[in-house]
Amino acid sequence: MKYGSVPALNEYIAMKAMFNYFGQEFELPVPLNESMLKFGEAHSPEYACFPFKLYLGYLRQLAEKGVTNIFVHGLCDIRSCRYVDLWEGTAQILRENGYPDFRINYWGGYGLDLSFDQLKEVMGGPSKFKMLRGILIFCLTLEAADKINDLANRSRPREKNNGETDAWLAKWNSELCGVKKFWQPRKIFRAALKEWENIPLDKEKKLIKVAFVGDMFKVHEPFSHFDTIRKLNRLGAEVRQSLQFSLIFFGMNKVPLKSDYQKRYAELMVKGKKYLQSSPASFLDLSVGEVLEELENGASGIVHFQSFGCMPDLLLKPILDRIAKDYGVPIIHFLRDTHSSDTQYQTRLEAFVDLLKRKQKI
Amino acid sequence: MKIAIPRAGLYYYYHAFWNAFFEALGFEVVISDPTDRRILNLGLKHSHSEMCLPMKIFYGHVLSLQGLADYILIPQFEEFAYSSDKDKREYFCPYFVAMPDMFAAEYPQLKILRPVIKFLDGKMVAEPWLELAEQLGKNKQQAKAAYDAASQVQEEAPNIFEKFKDNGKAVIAVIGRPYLLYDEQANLELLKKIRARGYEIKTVDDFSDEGIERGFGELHKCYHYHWRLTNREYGAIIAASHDPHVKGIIYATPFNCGPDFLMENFSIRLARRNKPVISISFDESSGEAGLLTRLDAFFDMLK
Repeated sequence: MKYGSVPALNEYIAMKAMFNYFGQEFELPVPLNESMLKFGEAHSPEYACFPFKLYLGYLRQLAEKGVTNIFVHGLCDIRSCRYVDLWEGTAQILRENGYPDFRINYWGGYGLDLSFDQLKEVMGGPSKFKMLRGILIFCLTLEAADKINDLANRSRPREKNNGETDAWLAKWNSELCGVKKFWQPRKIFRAALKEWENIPLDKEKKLIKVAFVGDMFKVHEPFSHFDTIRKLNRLGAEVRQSLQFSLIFFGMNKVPLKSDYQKRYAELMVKGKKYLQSSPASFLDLSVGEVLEELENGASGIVHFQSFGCMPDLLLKPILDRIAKDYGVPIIHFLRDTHSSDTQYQTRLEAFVDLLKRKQKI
Repeated sequence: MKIAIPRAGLYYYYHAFWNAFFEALGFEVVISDPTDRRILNLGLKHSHSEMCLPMKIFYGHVLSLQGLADYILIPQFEEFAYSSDKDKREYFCPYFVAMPDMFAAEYPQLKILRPVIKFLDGKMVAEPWLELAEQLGKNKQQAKAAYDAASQVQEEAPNIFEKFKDNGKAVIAVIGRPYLLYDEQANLELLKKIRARGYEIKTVDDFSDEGIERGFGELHKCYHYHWRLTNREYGAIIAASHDPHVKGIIYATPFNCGPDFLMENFSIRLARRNKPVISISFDESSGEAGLLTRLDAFFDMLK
């Protein structure tokens, strides 16, 4: 039986490592693309949101490669929006379109006991000790992958040789995908860090800081946001990855030995309460907390990327407008639907960055 | 002191509680007018174009109440929990969760009362209401008495809508959300139009909780429950498809309803094996021609 996962949030890297440890086959994601979107658009219900359509097409391509089971982190609380509907709906459409055995397996997010049961079923009945080790590998790999991604976001806007950071990032993500033992992720991170320190950077380059925000499936997946983080980096803007999955996973699941993440998760939630007292779907309260933190740390503008049909994104819009007004910073909203051209969007982004630079006299 | 309540959203289910609670505390309650073109236009002007019709109407009601009361009630709806099954929880649409935050962000001048509404075994949890009463200057005893009185009224309150009566006429099941089914401006008087054609109506609220649960159980989806109102619609459509009195099912949905987007895939298709079903979506358009044609065609087919 072949498994696969989501091409966002670095979850697939940690999943791959855990599957390696259990000796199970796991198909790495293919980058999201237009043909997936076309399939999703043709087969989705009319009111489905953009991520539903895109991920339907993505899962179909995995199914074409022989994947019959998707293994994703489970979310089943007020913050999960259409999360389970999204996966169950896509799986049903695939079952009706030539992939009758396609199913989704959820792991984590429903308590430790249920996680053990689900792991046991998928991984061929390992002992509890072995499962704990598997979970440890997942956690350590996820942490390393997110830290590596953070480093990439720091060096990319300053790199002297265009593309060097991304080559570095791809190399070390690939190394993490090969993890089988629990001591490897940290070792790999140390080696990656050493190499990262040697990437030639223009330390004198004046950058602006931008808060980049949107729902969790979009901000982590470049095709979904027209590769905005890299575009902003190339335009001289530094962007921190919001909604890191390690923060959500360790914070939400109260993973032992990760109290620093839990503390930060709780602090950001409290910060977000200033503008969002409720906890609506897609971790909006965390997003708002992160935006406020970025603004306090010198971000001079907000880029909000919405998906067409995404309710949490629409909720976020007036909240962000209020924040922008209160903090006196410009904000731009982009709406991602199923059109494929990013020309007009690129022009608007350039104009926005230009505005921020002029404001800061850079 | 005056408290304003928008006649929109889940007002159609919980108006009796809200009204009784504030009156028991000694406040005057102001309820917005039934939705009309003026309120709808106000909502259309100030809400967001991507929103569903009921949310646009909600904006209209809230804004129509500006200046008429000291506070406006915009509850924060959260969850339905069950003491018998701690893992089972149902949630409200994200708009209902974050509505007070949206209004606070867009209209900082509004004085909003925002109790967090949670249900345990079908009953509204007391604490947020007790806190709200204290926030309004009442003591613990007054708060508790008001909550008890309101709970009692909610249990005994006649429904805002006409309940199904079996009078021998053929029955049409009309499944949809309360703020669409019971708002005549929003649904272009759908229920009246059906009755005018000689049919009696069973709405989602005429099916028992047990029947809805049974219907829901037939669906192969549902790894976990999520949306409260959508789950009821899923189950009611299936229950209606097995009801021998029901001749046909009309599923009424707001255009671009987020939680209901899989209704066709998960529920309607299954119900069609037993009964004719049409799905009609409503937006802010006031033209009735399209709706009349679809109803005529549907009833013609039933005959």
